[in-house]
Amino acid sequence: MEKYHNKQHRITASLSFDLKKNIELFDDIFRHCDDIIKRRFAIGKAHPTAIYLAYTDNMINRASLQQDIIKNFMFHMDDIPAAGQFEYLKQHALQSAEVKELLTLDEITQAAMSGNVVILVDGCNKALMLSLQSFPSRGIQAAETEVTVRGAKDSFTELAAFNKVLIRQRIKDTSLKMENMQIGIRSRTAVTVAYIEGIAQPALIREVKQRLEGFTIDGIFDVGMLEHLIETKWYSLFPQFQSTERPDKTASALLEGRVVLLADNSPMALILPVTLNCFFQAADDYYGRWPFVSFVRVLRYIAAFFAMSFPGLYMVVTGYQPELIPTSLALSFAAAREGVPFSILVEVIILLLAFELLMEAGIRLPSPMGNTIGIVGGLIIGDAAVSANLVSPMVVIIVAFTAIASFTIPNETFLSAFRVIKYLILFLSSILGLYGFILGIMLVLVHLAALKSFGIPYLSPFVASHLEKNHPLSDSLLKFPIFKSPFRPIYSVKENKRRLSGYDRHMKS
Amino acid sequence: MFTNCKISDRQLKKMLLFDLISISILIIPCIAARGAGKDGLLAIIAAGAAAVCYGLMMLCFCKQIKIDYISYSQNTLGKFFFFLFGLFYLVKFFCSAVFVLSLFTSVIHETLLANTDNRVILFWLLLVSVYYASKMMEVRARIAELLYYPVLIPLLLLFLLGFFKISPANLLPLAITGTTPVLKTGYAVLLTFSAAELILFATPSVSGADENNKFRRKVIQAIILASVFNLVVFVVVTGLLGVSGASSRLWSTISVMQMIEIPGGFVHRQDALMLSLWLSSIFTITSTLFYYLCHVTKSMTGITKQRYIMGAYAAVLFLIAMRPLNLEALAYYFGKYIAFIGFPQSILLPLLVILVGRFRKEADT
Repeated sequence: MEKYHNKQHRITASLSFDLKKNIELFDDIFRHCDDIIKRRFAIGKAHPTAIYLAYTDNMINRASLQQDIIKNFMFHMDDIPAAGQFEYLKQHALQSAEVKELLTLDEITQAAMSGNVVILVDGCNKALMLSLQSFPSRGIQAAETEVTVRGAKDSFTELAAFNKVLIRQRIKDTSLKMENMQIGIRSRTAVTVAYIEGIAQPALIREVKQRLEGFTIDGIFDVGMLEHLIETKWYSLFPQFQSTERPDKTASALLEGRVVLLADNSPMALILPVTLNCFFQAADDYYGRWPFVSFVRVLRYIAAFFAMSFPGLYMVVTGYQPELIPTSLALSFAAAREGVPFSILVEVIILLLAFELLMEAGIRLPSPMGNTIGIVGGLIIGDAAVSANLVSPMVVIIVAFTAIASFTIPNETFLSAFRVIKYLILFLSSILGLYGFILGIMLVLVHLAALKSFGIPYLSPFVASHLEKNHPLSDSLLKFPIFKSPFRPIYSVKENKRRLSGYDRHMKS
Repeated sequence: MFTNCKISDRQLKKMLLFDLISISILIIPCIAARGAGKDGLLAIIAAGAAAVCYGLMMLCFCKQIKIDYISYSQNTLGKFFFFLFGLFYLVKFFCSAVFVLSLFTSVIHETLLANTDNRVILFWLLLVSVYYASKMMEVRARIAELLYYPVLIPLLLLFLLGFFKISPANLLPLAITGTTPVLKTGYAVLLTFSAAELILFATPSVSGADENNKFRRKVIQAIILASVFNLVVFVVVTGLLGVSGASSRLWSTISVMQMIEIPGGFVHRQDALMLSLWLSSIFTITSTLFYYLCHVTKSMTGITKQRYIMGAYAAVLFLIAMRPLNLEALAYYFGKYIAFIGFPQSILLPLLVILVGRFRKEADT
């Protein structure tokens, strides 16, 4: 098959004027492709003309093809002229909103495999494309990983076309641009770069496109793969993109001047640039009462700290500096450990790993079985392990608290970083106590301070506050009311910072 | 695309403050009490005033030099003399690194890890410092910005709590020691401000430093704040321990941390908590020394790979600082070096470079 393709896996063979040769070429290219339906038939009575149809089975609306196209070919094309049949067919035979002429064989084969019908006409070295796409899809469903109490419930699906609609529904602005690209020389995945012109930084858009065009790959099946290919600090545990399944979050990011990537077959959108602060923001933070939201935000930050440090802290106070805590508490820690044959480190690691295994098993199993795993693991094994003196009850509490703390972080990719970092801090604390604990925290801080997402410091707005002068902290650790954040965050162009104006102060009273 | 290669004057202030106080709050009470007894207070005030003048002098040099100090010196002095000039700085940064690493290792060993080998503590201290220093200036500035309040506020709170327990008899009467000991001690205290010379190296990284008066204000604010910290620390430490208590140990501040209790606290050992917060600031000074060691070495040798230079310095420093050194003796000799060579050179070398630069400019025109 390589005889027809170049290095970029594009078909270089060209169409001839002879339909018979074109059919032979088609048959050769689509050899053993049983999902491609091809049909040759003649139309017209006075001047019979041979035509050839090709499409992918179950990717088109077959009823429409039969009703609107084939029927027309069979019964209404009797007066087809002797010359100019191609134009005649284009004008009179095809009842479809989208009809296009295709000139290269590469375009034609791609169209046939993307839910379109292609029509070759004898005596012409080009084809007609008819859009009758009807993809199998699970439809728009409620968000599963970013559930909210208030706000829209819909989420992205695997079809980028649907996802674009969900965004456009929310931003009916001609400045919202959605540029399509094709990535993957074999998968030819449609990737969309969405941004709002005049708000997003032009240099950022250029950079994103440049990075997307900077590689050649066989196939892309999810935006996660794109993330791997275009991030700069590939070794970092922390995500440099925000992935979301929520259209409202995506639309809000676009209005902030950020760029969004959508890919076919992926129910997630990638938002960039990103800061650490973005991962602590949940969608309904913007719909709820601000004092409570602020309280929850603070709670999330504290929880994130505990998610990575709690086992390490336990190690410090039990193994090195028990005098840090009240004596009675230190004694109860020691009493709880009585009879446990392992060191504190081994004990903590056993339970942490057991928890990770349970979580992994719970995720991969269907939900009814997943619940069972939770009960078996959490209650039965946990209780049995304590009764058998394998672990102390205090460690069960520590691990459970760490898990709960980590689950308060609203972004799954981000929380997975904390799941790994806690082992580093635990290890350092186990060999150097409080000093090791501080070393671990410092290592994480230095790494985070050095991290950038498309030039934006990851720790912004807590650091480099000189880069953003307009209320940079109004949507960070605390969430102020919307009228307190009249300016867009750091991502947008300087000339278009204001997003709220004319807010009348007496409306507040 | 967004770019952020420069640091702000506010970030520089925070970095400078950490560089100035991370060692001084540990050793100033001892230095001042040993040298001038209760009049250590006056010595610290005098040193603070002198430090402001020193800072102004450095700012004046910055104004004259305008560009990167190292590049300016390289262009002005020529290869051979620049090599000699660089050696002075290398020796100073290297000796400072040995002293700082030994001091911190000993403090951590005594207060937190009595049963752990010093070499293990030193190894990890070096490792994190090298990692920290390997990042660019703006990363170090961001860390300083982030740690500023978490480190300073608890320290300040601690000293405020201690303030109510001090015995006035331990601090008064003043002006009984005589002028010479006060001035001598003032000079010894002033030496802890020699980190202020780093603004010469850092200025090109500050956005708008050459035309911005705010930058000068921030530098002076950092020096004044450091002086206030030193003063508060001395008052609290000497007020609680007395002159003999404050001068008995090089890092007597730690003893005070152990004495003060936070009311209703869940945490029983405040010194460990305070130390852990203060620990995060020590990496700022150790990484600064590493960073400038590499910066000067790169300019002198033309080696571009920073990681090799850092690795080599880390190995040598480890081999030197791992030896069981007498910290009191080390502090004595390091003090002598800074007093007679390190501090004077921080004024004379830039002055010399500027003068040579002027002569050359005049000769050219």
